[in-house]
Amino acid sequence: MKKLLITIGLGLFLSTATVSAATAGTVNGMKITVKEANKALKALTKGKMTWSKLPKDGRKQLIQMMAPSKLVAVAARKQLTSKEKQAALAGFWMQKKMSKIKISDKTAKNAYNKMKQAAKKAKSKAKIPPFNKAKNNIKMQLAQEKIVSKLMKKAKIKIK
Amino acid sequence: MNKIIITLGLASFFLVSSVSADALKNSLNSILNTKDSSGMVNLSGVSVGAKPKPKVRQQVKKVRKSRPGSAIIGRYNDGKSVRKKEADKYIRKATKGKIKDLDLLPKKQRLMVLKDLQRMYAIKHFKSRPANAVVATVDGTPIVKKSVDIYLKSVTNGKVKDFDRLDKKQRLILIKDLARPILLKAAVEHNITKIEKETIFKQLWLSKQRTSIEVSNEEMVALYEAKKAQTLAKNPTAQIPPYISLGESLKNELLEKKIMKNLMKDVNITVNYDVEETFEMNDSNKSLEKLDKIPDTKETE
Repeated sequence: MKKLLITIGLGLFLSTATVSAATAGTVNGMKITVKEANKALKALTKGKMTWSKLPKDGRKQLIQMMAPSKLVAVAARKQLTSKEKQAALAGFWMQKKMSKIKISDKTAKNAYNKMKQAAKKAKSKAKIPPFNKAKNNIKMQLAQEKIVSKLMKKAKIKIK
Repeated sequence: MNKIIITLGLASFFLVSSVSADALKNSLNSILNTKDSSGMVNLSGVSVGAKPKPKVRQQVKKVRKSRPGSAIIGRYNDGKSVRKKEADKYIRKATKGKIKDLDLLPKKQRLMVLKDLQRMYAIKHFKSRPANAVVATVDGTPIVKKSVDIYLKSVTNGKVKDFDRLDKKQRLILIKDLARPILLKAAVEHNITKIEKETIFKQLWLSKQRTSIEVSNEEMVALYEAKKAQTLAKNPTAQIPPYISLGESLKNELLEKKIMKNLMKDVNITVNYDVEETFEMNDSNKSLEKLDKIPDTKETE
């Protein structure tokens, strides 16, 4: 019984490993797996075509079509600095979070009035745009502040 | 007889003097007790026979009692003791010799002197930590002094360069500033998938490429004319939109083409024509059978 289970287990493992290792083609040595090719085909043909059914020419065309995406991914990984990457990821995460936060017009108006008063106090000569024009920016700013303050609240900061 | 006369005389003298003393006392008391309307100083609150309060006498004694110069009056920030003679020396110098003893000062001033001495000692014996010393942690992530010093320098326009010279409050503000990107990074790591990351990097790289590649007007006009000719060849009556209305889309198309051209330069593509999709089935025996059948031949483009 044990031997049978081991054999089945090994078989399953090997079959899964084979699928992930099955190569449809390569681009500058980078593998494009059959799974990836099928995924692309599914999107292109609305599920009508698979790699196995694809004729020679079609396979060639598909790999050529998929090549730029692979090349761009590699170029991006190599050429972008870690700072650029981090900023892009942070921006994306922030936008994702901000889409879930709703700031009411009333809150935005209050913040706008406060800013206006502060500018008056500081005797600022800069022109203050009307609320309707500044509304969206203020809402974004408030949402960002909310997210950051939430992060800071949870953080454990120790100074030595 | 003489003796009798002397005795009587003395007795009468004593009687008279006691009577007159009582009268004096009474008159004095009446002066003190009656309210004065002449505008002179009112002494009604003064108790003639009262003795000075013992508490006041004790306080005076306590202030005036001086401790020896070797007495420890406090501690420096490194734990070293502050001796009274140091404070005495400081006061003498500060008051130009007018006050020579710390114990002559009230408590508040004594504390001020001690704080001054501690501050001066801290300045004199200031030692900054090494650049690689961990000065703070944010959710366990260490922040080294070097990075804080760089940030401090940029924030203060080069006026302050050493984190260790800041007080507690200032340190906290600065570390909170530096904590934000660390916390954001951690949040990003936990909430963005690998595929999302790759897509974001690809988009960023492409947008950078778009800004670095130039497209001339001639190229745009050439593309417009080519497209126009192509459309008219298919349908001679087709209405062609003016060049200006297509400007942006023509530019984008040219940019895409240029990026692709650069990207696909000297690229080596191989296609494996012999891989069977049936490998995706999780049938162990079939998979193993087909594993043996897979040839290693690949066609190079």
